[in-house]
Amino acid sequence: MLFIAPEMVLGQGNDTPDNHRPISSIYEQLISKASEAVKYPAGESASRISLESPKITPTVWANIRFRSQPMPWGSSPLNSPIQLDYPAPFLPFRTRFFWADHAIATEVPFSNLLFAWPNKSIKKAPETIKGFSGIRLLTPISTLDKTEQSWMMFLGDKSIRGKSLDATYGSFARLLGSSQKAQADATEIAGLSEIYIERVNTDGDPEIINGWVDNEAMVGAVRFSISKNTIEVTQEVEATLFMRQDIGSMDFSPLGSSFSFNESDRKIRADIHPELHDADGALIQDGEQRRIFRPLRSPSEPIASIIPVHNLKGFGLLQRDREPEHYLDLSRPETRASVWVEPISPFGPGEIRLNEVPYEEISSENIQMVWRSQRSFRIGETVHLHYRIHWTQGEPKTELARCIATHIGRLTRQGQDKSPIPYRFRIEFDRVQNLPKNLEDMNVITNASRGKFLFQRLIQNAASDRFFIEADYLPDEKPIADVELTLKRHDTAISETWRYRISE
Amino acid sequence: MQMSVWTFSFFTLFTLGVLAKDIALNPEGSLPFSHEMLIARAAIAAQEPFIPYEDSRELIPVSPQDWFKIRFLQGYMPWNHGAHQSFIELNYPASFFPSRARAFWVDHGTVGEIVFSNDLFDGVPPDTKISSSSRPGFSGLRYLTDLRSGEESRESWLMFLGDQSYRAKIGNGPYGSYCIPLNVTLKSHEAYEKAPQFTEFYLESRETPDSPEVLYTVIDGTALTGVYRFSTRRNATGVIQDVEATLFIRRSVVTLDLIPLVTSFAFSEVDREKYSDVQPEVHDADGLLLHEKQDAWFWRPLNIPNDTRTSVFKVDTLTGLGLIQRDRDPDHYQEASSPHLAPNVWIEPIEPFGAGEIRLTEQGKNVPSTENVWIAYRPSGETLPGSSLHLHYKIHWIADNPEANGLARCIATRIGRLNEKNGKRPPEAYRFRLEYQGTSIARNDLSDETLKVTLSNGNLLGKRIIHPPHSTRWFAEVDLKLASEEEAELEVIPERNGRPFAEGWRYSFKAP
Repeated sequence: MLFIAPEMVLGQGNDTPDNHRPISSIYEQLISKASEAVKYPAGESASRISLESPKITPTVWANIRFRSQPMPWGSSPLNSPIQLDYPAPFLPFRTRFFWADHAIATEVPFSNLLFAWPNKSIKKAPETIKGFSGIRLLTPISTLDKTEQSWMMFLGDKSIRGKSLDATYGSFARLLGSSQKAQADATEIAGLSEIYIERVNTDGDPEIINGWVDNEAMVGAVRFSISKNTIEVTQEVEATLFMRQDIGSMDFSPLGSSFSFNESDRKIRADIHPELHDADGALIQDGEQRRIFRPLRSPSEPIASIIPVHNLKGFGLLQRDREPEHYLDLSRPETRASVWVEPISPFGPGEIRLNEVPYEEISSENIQMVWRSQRSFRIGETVHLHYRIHWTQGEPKTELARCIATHIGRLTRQGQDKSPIPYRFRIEFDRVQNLPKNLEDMNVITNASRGKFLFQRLIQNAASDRFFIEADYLPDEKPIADVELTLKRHDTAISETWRYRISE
Repeated sequence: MQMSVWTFSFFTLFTLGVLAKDIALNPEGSLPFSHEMLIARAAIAAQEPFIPYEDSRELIPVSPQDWFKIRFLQGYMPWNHGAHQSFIELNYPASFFPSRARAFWVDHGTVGEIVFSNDLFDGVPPDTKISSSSRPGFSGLRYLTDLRSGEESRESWLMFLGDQSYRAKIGNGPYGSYCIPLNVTLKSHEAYEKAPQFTEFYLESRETPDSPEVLYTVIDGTALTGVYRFSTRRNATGVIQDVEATLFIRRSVVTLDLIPLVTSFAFSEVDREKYSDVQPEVHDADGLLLHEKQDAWFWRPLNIPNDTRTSVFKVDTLTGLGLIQRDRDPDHYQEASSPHLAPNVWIEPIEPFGAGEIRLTEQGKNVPSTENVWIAYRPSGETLPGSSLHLHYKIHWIADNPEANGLARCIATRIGRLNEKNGKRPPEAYRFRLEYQGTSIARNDLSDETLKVTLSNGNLLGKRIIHPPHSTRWFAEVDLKLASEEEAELEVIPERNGRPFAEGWRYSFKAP
């Protein structure tokens, strides 16, 4: 039998909570603890002990099984079963895990005894190690699926991943990125060094996961209130963070994904799959009318795009193409979960930053999308965040025609030998029924940061529920530009704004 | 004039006649006609040398745009009368469809010529009118749909264009691949002559409304002369032609390419270059299908090499051969001209063609031609002067694939670079994934299924059959490493207990 050390972590020292005192929530307790901790340097960072990780390969690691055994959540039928991941060098950030019952937290410390091994010769991690390389919420075995599958993960790469029952994991979210530098290219991602899962006492209540953030830049608490149904997993996120430093750049809810190629930019004889990606577009809702869809790219050189947004209603990385024949892969990329971030409290002024680096087999997580706040934060300042993350195979509702494919061709050269070669774009939109019979008052509005559009036209396809916008674009001598197309009637948008980054 | 060769022959016996009531017809009266008479005339003509067209023929300045507006006035035509009307238009001569073919009407064993006249046409721009005295003939002809049978619009469904090609289409779909009668090469210094041409068209009246449209054509060239008889039926699923040809050889023929088929292929899913076009695929056919015997079916996806390439497939017997537009998904073309409805052309010999080889020529990327792929059947051996040939086959212009004993069909080919264990992607190592649809349902035990792989260049690194769950398709995967820069000929045959359960797949492949 296993011995689980009960450890009262939130009280100071060995104090037990006073039964006569009104019990505050774990989240409140963590905030209160953080308001003290901000006065001191960062606590023992889990990442610093990653050196102790056993040297095991992902294949071996995947075969180490978390044992089914008496665990505190076993007596809580309204909670999802939980699985803890064995420490691994490739998921280096370690998280301590606590079970919280009526606001009293008990740690489940790491022990090799918690795991079953495929092979006895494997070198095990020292018992002194603290924390795990991941925490997963599982679907109870009694539901439709015979196998116990997870639907939410907090992993040791500081990522948060969710999916609905019939979806597969794809894009991921992170909590926050920060840098002391203003206009930083890259920010340090905040990890959750402790996770507290609360007992669910009332049927239908969301599952509550609290996280503890403790690094050189900040200390604070996060509360995820998670609900799921067959089509979507929704996390309502609240965070209260105390700054230990001046912060020049802060990224809210960084998102990541993997994109190799799609219909627009597939190379000849490169891969047997028609398309290969976990997400195919970045979507941004700016106010009620402007909805930008930016197909993702795997460029030959890294590209950093800045997309100005005036009134952020949401942003996300979508796997919009749900056609199995466009992937033909056993891992079923057509079911990858899209991720959509919806601020509940406004994020304030800022911009979307989209970083795309060349896809490589080794580092396939080559897409990053963040909301970069326009302001800086001072030491001692408190940052409150309140937003929702949706994990879904769908996407936020809209009446606008959606861009469902981008086809690109090159035309023949227009002038003498060295003149730039124009591109032809054909963008496929759904919802042809939104078009009036008479197209005279419809306009394709174009916008290019460099170069110019030579012509654009709207093509209706009578036999289909789609229409095309076709546009020829002439780059100038420096072939790097952001281009946009929107179908409008008078001043009203009929379609999403299709946006693309041109680069040779 | 091109007719001089005939003036000595017994054709003069029935010097061109007329049905007196039609001004279009030659006023000298009608004369007897039969298929056999035409063949006999060709046999005699073969003993005389071919007299080619004179180059001095009138240049016809009409532009394609104007030409398409010219209407043939059917009201004058004999086929426009009577219970079993046909709707046929003769084409105004045009330089881009070079032809001086004459047209005749055959009715119950008599024949009369329809002599070219500008009065037969409406909408000829005045400054481009051809003088009737030059007897220019016609640039082919077209069969039109019968509006009385509920057709929506009057459009053609079978065309003989210029002096060489003919093509048919299905319903309201577009034209695509086409046939030409023959190609020959000669032993003499005229290494490759212009293919023999149609010089005369004989349109025959129909007995009943259900009768096929019968057309006799005379073909003539340096190497040979002869007669083709086309008996053509059209229905909702396509057009079927029964073709009989009797050919008389004038000069020693080194190679004789029968039933050449031509198509246009830019790219498909397998070889689309990045940023090549806004269409996902551009082609009128995407593969050659070959049926040798019983379960020996082969699919060869078309693909365009850098330099022109000819692939040769030897066959003992030929049961069927064609250019197929197998991909029928409009989303794979997204083109207003609807190439997903272009017809397959499937040749089915009725009399055996004998041993020979299939020749597939794919013009290189650098050749600026859209009619860039052709196939033909080349019988073995030389064809001697004085000999004759008889061919009898069917041409199916259809959307379906010919039924292949229930064998699974290859519906797509994917090529990717192969990752070696060390993570490198050498430029000579590839994975081929052939997507199949049909017969082989997902089974637990695949131990009796295997891939028979033949490579002309390189080593086989691995092979497997994959049945993805949730799919009606299955994959045959082959990993290989090329040994040299030579073109590799590949063949994969999925077999179960030693017998094919799917089409074989062939490919010509060269590392870039």
